Amino acid sequence: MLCLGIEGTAHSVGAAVVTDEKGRAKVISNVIEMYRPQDGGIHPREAANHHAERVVPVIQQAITEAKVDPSELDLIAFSQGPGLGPCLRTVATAARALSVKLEVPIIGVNHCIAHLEIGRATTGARDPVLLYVSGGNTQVITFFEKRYRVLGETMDIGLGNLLDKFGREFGLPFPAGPTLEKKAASGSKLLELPYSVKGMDVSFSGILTAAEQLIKKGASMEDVCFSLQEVTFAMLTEVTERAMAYTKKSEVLLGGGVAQNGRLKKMVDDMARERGGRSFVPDGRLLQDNGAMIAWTGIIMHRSGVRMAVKETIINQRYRTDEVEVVWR
Amino acid sequence: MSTLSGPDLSHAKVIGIGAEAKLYRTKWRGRDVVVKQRVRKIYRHKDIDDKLRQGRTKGEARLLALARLAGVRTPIIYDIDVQSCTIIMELMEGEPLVKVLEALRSDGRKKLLYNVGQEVAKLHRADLIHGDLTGANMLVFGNTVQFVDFGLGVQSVEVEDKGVDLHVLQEALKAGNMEDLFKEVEKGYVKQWPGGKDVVARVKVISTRGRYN
Repeated sequence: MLCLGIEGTAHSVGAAVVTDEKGRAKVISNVIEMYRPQDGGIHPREAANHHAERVVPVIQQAITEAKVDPSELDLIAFSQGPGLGPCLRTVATAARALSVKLEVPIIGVNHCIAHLEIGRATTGARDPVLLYVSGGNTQVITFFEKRYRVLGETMDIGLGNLLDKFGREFGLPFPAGPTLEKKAASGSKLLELPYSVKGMDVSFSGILTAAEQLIKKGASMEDVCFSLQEVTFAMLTEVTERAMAYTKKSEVLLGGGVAQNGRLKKMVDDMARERGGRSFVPDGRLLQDNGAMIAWTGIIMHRSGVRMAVKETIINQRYRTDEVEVVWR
Repeated sequence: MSTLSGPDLSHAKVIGIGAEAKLYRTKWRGRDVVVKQRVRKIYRHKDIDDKLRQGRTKGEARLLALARLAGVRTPIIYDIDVQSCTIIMELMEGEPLVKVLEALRSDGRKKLLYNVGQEVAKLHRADLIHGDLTGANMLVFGNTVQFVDFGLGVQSVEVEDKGVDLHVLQEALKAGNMEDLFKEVEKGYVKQWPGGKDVVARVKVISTRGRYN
């Protein structure tokens, strides 16, 4: 089964061709284009304009790189939510048009679940707890009592959002994560930042204010970046461990753009080993938002009998992880 | 035996391993005790780790003591060793609430859950939030409901925090197919603490909104 997956929930638009080879995911092409605002944060409408301009070339490139003819596609999958409304609508429109034109089925996919499924399909993790950390999302998700459930999450902003806001204030390029990681590597002094964990939930907004204050009071950028990483990643690792203990699971999977950070990977891996478990990290282009994870999740849903009429493909900005009936597990 | 490095646990029996602490059963000055030790986490920076574990050890000991002052039965603390993040406390007799409920008939269940509601109200009236009111953290001994593990507990005056605390209990009952008996908890709660009416009202709001709000 050859599936074209289109992703566009936030600042990236992506398209990928994926097939299943003996039940395993084979990513044939995976094209991602990121909208980078000149200044300021992501404006949903401007991001959607970017996607509207780029979605067709991105799809064309994905198909060309995969060396397939559009007529060979068996399925169109797209990100149905959660995400920014205008972006979701743009990508959904492209998916519907293709489905109607090519006369192939269409499936809307939950973006958060797709992060988990592509990890399962490509890393060897079987039944992991997913720590999903991106710009807008920070969640701990696992399969529990027949559904994918959010066991813990941020009570305010996503961690990527915190890092980007901090970066914007002090001139780091968007997304701020990679630069912040480099600066943190030359920092060594742990400065005081609020550590806010409540059960399995975390909160970040107080940390942003505190970090900005530290810089304004003359602390070095390197030390603040170091402290930001040490504190926020420890919070995430702690709630992930709680979720593993609670559900009695030994595997942990990383997902989301922030999970490309080496220090976060190390912390999660140390935690998993200490528990006698294992950590799994998908390839970088499968960690960030991408079409391949959407295509693959579409394939396994279709294989389990999920079908959608075009009128059922309305986007859902607040698509909850536990709304999805998981018929494929 | 309480030293700077904490009690000697080399002969103690491990009776539980949680996400952040290990529980041991051992003898201490002739008594049967439970030792709760928050273990070092190698993944986090040592300064963060020490501060968190020591702060939480003190916080939990404080809550256990305050709960007793509020008239709720919790383990007696014999000693705490902040350096090694250890609390030495009474080994409580009793059966986990969840087991006792399973063994009871409808009338007995109602009476017991009414009693649970009264005890939780005593905690909340004193602004003590348990933080993890699940079936394993309440032990039933005779007619007394006792509370253990305040590891996720906090002090708070907020109706929301008390509501969430009760909601956890509601979810725990749901998991055991006893959701309809939650009203017994509510009855006992309001009887014990008439001022807790708005907390009970808040639980209804909390349980309908779920996540992503």
